[in-house]
Formats: sequence, structure tokens, C-alpha cells
Amino acid sequence: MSSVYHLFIINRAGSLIFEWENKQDENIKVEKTFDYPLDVHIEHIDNKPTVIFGARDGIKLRYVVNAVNGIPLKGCRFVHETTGEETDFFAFINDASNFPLSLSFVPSILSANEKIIIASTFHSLYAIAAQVSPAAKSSGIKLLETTQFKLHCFQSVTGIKFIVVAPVTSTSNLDALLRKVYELYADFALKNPFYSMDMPIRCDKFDDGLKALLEKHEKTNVITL
Amino acid sequence: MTLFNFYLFNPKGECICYKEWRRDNPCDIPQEGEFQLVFGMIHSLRSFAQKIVTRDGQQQIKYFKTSSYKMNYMETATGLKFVLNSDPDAVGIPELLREIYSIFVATVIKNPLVDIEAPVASSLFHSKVDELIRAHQSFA
Repeated sequence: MSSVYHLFIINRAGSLIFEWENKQDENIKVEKTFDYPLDVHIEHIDNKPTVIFGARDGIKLRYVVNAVNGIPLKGCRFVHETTGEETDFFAFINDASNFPLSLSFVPSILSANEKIIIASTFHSLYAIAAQVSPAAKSSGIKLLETTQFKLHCFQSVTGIKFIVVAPVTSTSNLDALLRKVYELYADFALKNPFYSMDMPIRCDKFDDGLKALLEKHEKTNVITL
Repeated sequence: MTLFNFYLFNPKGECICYKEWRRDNPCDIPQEGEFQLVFGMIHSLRSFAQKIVTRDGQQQIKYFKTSSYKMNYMETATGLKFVLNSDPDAVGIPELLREIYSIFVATVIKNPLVDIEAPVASSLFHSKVDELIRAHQSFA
């Protein structure tokens, strides 16, 4: 359980200019041997075989199959060990003669493209929330809470959005964290004469400052379950 | 502390009930368009939330807050979506949404002659929900 899952910075036009992800849970992997028929239901979602039903023994919903009998999967296809040709995953598991086999599951991770897409999606949702407001003069989404995470968004007066995604049990002051990230952005990105506005942030000092800020945040916010 | 308005969407995405108690910001698009906009926003928010954190399977959006309102959301397993806009400091709204759902079940679903996907025509439903909202502590 970490104190921050993701951090995004979105520019005025809605594209992602900086992204940070907590890599602590990258090593979760569950491997199990199965007999025909498969009791875990797997479907083709976003070009990856995803668990949609039948979560058990550490395999949770929306986990993705990343290897079959030890052979890594590329999308929905993998190289068959004996024939050496590319086999479709779903054709393979529907054939009873291939069982028992072992499947390895990992939590689904966001690719760089997917992150860019969700950043733009959030940018639009922010604007729509301001538009459908029943109250006069509303800003966009400042806080979004679900049963699994809470997302804080701070928009500066110049239109740059700073977004942090943290576990729902987190009690830390995420708005203060966002203000400090804004300070770091102003110091290392804006004051850099070679940085152009609205471009992706590529600055070592910014990365170091952010890393130190997040470590300090994690230390001062121990989550009690 | 106020409750602004309420939307109820069927699983197809059509708004079958809209109630308004206070609206300071008149909408400049026709009402049908506004329903579609709100539904589209909810739909996108759901898929956004699912993509961002996939650690532990199912999750439900509870609410989002802006500087001047809070949109509370509840979704049932059958795909009914309840949206209630309140002021940012309102309390007790999830229970209120659940009570509205139980009124809906009692007056609309349990009635064998009513088409549950059509706009709610039951005057009993409308009067009971109005009564419930006005008696709620967050209603000014």
C-alpha cells in the first residue's frame, strides 16, 4: 500500500506533459495450473486477455494473462513451444488437448499511449463538469472519489492541471502536495530558459525534486489499515 | 446546504426521471441534450476510473466535487444510474440515494403494468421522492 499511485501534469490544451507512476506493485504476479474447462472467464479487452469473472486465489478481476506455460504473450498471440508458430490465445485455451496448462496473471498496466488518452479524457471531463453545473460559476472536477482511489486535481491560474491519484484510505493532504508540485514545476520547468510552454517536461532536477517530495510525503503519511 | 437537481438514467442511457429544486445556472442547451451530456460524462468517468486503477477489480464512483457543487452517484447492479447534485458540504447523500432507489423499486419495478425503461410516470414516485428530499437535512 503506497501513498500515491499516479501523478499527472496536463497542459492548457489537454495533453499530458508529465507522468509519474508508483512502481512498487509492479512485481505482483500469480501463476496457476488449470484443467479443462477453465473456470476463470477471460475476454479480449483492449487487445489483452483480461479476467472478467471467476476471480480467486490471488487472481483478481481485470488481471491480464501475460504468459502461457512460461511463454510470454504478445497481445493475444504467443509462439507455441513445439510447433514454433504464432498461436492465438483463445483458440489455444478452447482446445481441451492443450490442458493442463499454466497461466500467469499480472495486474493490467497502463501503456504510455493509454496514459495520454486518459489525461485528455480527464481534461474534457473537467470542462464538462463545469458546464453542467447547476450552481453558478463552478470550476471543474477538484476531487473524484471512488471505492478504490481518490483523485485530486489542482488547476493553476494559467490552466495547467496537476493531478494526483491516491488510495481511498489515504488521509494525507493531497491538495498541499499538489501545490508543492506546482512550485517544483514553476522552479524547474518554467524558469528553465530552454523549456517551451506546453511541452513535455524533461528535466532531471524536476524529477529529483519530485522524487524527494513524494518520499517525504510517504514518510509523513503512514496509512493505518 | 442545498440539493440542486436529480437525474435517473435507465441502463440504455435515457433519462427517465429529472427533478430540479434549485438551479442557479440555467442551461443554454435543450434539456434532452443536457441529459445526454450528463450521461456521456458519467459513462466516460466510469471507464476513466476503471482504467486508472485496476488493482482490485470492481469499483464504483462515489462522487466528484467541484468548487461549487458535488455530484453524488450511485449505480445499481442492473445498470440504473442515480445522479444527485448537492452543495459541496452536504452529508448523508449516499443513504438518500439508496432511499430513492427503494422508493423506485416499490413504486415502479414492483408494478407489473409499468415499462421500467420508459420515463417514470408514477405520480406516487414523484411525490414520495419530493417529500423525501424536502425532509432531508441537506435541503435548504
